Amino acid sequence: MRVLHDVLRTTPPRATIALAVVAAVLLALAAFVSAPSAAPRCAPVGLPAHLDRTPLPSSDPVGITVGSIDACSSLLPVGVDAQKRIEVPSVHTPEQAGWYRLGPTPGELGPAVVVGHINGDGRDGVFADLDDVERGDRIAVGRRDGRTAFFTVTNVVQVDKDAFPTTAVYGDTRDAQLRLITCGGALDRSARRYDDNVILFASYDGWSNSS
Amino acid sequence: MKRIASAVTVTAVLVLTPLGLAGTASAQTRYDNCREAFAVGVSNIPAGAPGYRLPLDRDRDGVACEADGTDGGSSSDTGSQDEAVSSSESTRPDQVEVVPEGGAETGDGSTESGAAPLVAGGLLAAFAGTFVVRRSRTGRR
Repeated sequence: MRVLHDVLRTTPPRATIALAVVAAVLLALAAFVSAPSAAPRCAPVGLPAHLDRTPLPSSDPVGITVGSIDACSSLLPVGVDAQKRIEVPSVHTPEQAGWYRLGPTPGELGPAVVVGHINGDGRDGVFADLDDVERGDRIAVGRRDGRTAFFTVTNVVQVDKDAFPTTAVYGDTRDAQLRLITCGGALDRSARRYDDNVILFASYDGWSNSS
Repeated sequence: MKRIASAVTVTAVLVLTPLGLAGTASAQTRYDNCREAFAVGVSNIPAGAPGYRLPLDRDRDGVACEADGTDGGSSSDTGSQDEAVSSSESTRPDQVEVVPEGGAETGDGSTESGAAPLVAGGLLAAFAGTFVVRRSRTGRR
């Protein structure tokens, strides 16, 4: 420290400022270097030739696959906490997705909701790339009754958590629907909390017996 | 000496600016139907944005008054259809047993490296700044 102090004392002030600016710019540029992506780990979502479009009776979901972002997970049932906020799987197991058990099961009439982390414990979460999903992408949800429900993505939106579109996400629907929720937007570093949610809306294509 | 101090301030501001969010104040807007929104050049209102309402999102895909007409509101549409959906909004949803409040806390930010170097850069600039200020003070003696 003493040495640095002496160096700075003997360095012209403008040179010091320039040094600081150069260092800041270099550090900022380093942030844009991204890590290489891993090999695919999920089975592709194969759409059967014949789908039965009728809504299904209730049966707990056991697994979900979003093929376009190579996201797949078993599904942990989650409810609400004491503040009536939706529970999520532990942030220490960010690869684990959760299904909202106080709503419809996927394939059943109404909006089925699946939540997943964007990251946790220094690792990418199951829905780290949810905002890369595009309209028309397919999602498959396996159910305990041996059927698989298929959905097509209709929209992905990013919204401020303070303006969460509760009715659009949890309100009644005329058919079977699916919503996937994760975090996004600016990160509040002190609270380790994101300002926004990324919400994916998907509509039901039908079901088939699991292959 | 004053000029140096202000130069330091400018440097700090330039480095720290990407950390802060620009204030995005937008007027709360309500459209009775999509024709009204289209009339003022507004379409494709995402869920959560001002102006989004469920009655304006007929296909329930999270985007209201879509330009492709899937939410109604084209010139051939009558306002009564919007009203019909509107009345169903007021009834309590029953497909979801307990409707959670607010959003989901899905992440701790632990894989984010984006802002950290900026913070480091900002701190570095501030650090250098203190030495420049100290130097200018000693120089005055």
